[in-house]
Amino acid sequence: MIEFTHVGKRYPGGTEALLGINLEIDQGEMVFLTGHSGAGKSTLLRLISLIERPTRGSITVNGREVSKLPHRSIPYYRRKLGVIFQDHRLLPERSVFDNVALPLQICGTDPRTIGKRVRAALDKVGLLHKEKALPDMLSSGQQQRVGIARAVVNRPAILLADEPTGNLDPELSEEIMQLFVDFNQVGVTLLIASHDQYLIRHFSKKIIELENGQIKNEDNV
Amino acid sequence: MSVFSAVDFIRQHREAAQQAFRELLRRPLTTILTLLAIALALALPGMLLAILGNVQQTTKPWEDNRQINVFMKLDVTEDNLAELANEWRDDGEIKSVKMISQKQALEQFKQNSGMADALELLEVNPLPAVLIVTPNDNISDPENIKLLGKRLAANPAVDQIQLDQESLQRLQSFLNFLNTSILLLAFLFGLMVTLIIINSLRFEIIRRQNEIKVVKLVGGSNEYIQRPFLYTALLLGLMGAILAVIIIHFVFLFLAPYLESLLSLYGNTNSPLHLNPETTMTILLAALLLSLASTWVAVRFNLRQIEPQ
Repeated sequence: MIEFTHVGKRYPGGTEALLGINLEIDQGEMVFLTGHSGAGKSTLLRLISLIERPTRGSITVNGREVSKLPHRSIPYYRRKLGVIFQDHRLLPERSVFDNVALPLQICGTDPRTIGKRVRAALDKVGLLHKEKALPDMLSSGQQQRVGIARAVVNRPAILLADEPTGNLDPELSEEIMQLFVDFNQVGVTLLIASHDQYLIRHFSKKIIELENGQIKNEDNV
Repeated sequence: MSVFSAVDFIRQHREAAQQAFRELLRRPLTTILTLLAIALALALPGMLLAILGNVQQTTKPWEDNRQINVFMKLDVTEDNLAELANEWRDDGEIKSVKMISQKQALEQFKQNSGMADALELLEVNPLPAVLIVTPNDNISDPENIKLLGKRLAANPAVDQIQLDQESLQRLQSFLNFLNTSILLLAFLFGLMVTLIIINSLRFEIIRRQNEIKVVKLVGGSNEYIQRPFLYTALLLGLMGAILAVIIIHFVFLFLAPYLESLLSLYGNTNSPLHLNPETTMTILLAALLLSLASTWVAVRFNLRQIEPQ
């Protein structure tokens, strides 16, 4: 599903964020990406969602080489991914409903389908009753769950999450992780970057540990 | 790439237009100030264009005037005058000849000038007899009319000739100069409108940078992101143009009485101070094109560069 071959990322200043990364994530797998901050977790995720391009190597997603995808094709590629951020990146001026509806609106989905799918996604994360609220009226955990609803509303085959529990207390973190496990059970491939070792061990899934831009350990459970 | 049906296409555009309208309403003061700036920049050249258009229209009937006024020497008798008029009526290049004798000329002058009493004192009639010659229809070229005039002037009874065309040409070249100046002015003001719209789009794009980044992250295409900005520009342009038309209307309404009393002194009742439909359409169309150009520039140089990090 996702394959990295000799992937390197060097920033203009000369910093090597990733060095010769080789990895393969199969369809339906749930993988944790771990390591200290600065180890390259976020860079790796940004390369998959094409927020950044690798300086070396090739990245294949769903059988397609994406590292050299033309600029104008990026939006259509991103529509097939669900991305979740630590700071959830919600639009503060729009309601919870409109935030979750965004990935569907940009595809030109008709309003009735949007209504159904947005409510299904909100129901899944347990926030159906908050659809009219503005993000600022919600707690951190709730905001993160709105972000997750937005990532899954388009029913992507791949979900990427960058420190999704970074700002949450342990109990909420586990709730969020449990949501990911649920998505995984219906066949979604997940790649989750997290430095929370305790939480990761708890779920006994594949763990890839990064250090200084290289894979230090690959732990298959 | 997804294929959109016509219904989807229209709905997406309607949604973009609604979003643009909501954003404009969200900051009413900014919107009103921008609209006023656009309206004033459109109203000034619009007013001049309207006046010029109306002046050119009222001068049009003169354009067909190919008359040659032939002034006779003072010693030409009334009999000689009639004889010459008849001779010219048979001329192949002449359509008609209208005769104004010295007496008739004096009568006309007395009536029009109001100096009847003063003229009574004169022993000799100082006014020459005039033959007003209209060339044949096939002679319309100014050069040919000039040639005919020269031929008529060669007659020993003729003192001098005057071509209507010459004074008309003078007026025409003055109007041409005015026309070019106003068009140049309109172009500069159009540029100003474009800059105003570009500036407010830039401001709006920078203000909504985070939103644009998020939309790009979830797969929003450039077309999707720039669509609301296109409608922002169109709304600003068109509402500005409508406001400009209203401003012009009221300015003309205010000025009209002053100009009319001036014009009535010259016996003219056609006031050029009104907004004709052509000028109104020109202003609206210009605003439309200027807002499209502004969107293109603003999007090209500001929106596309915004990428998620």
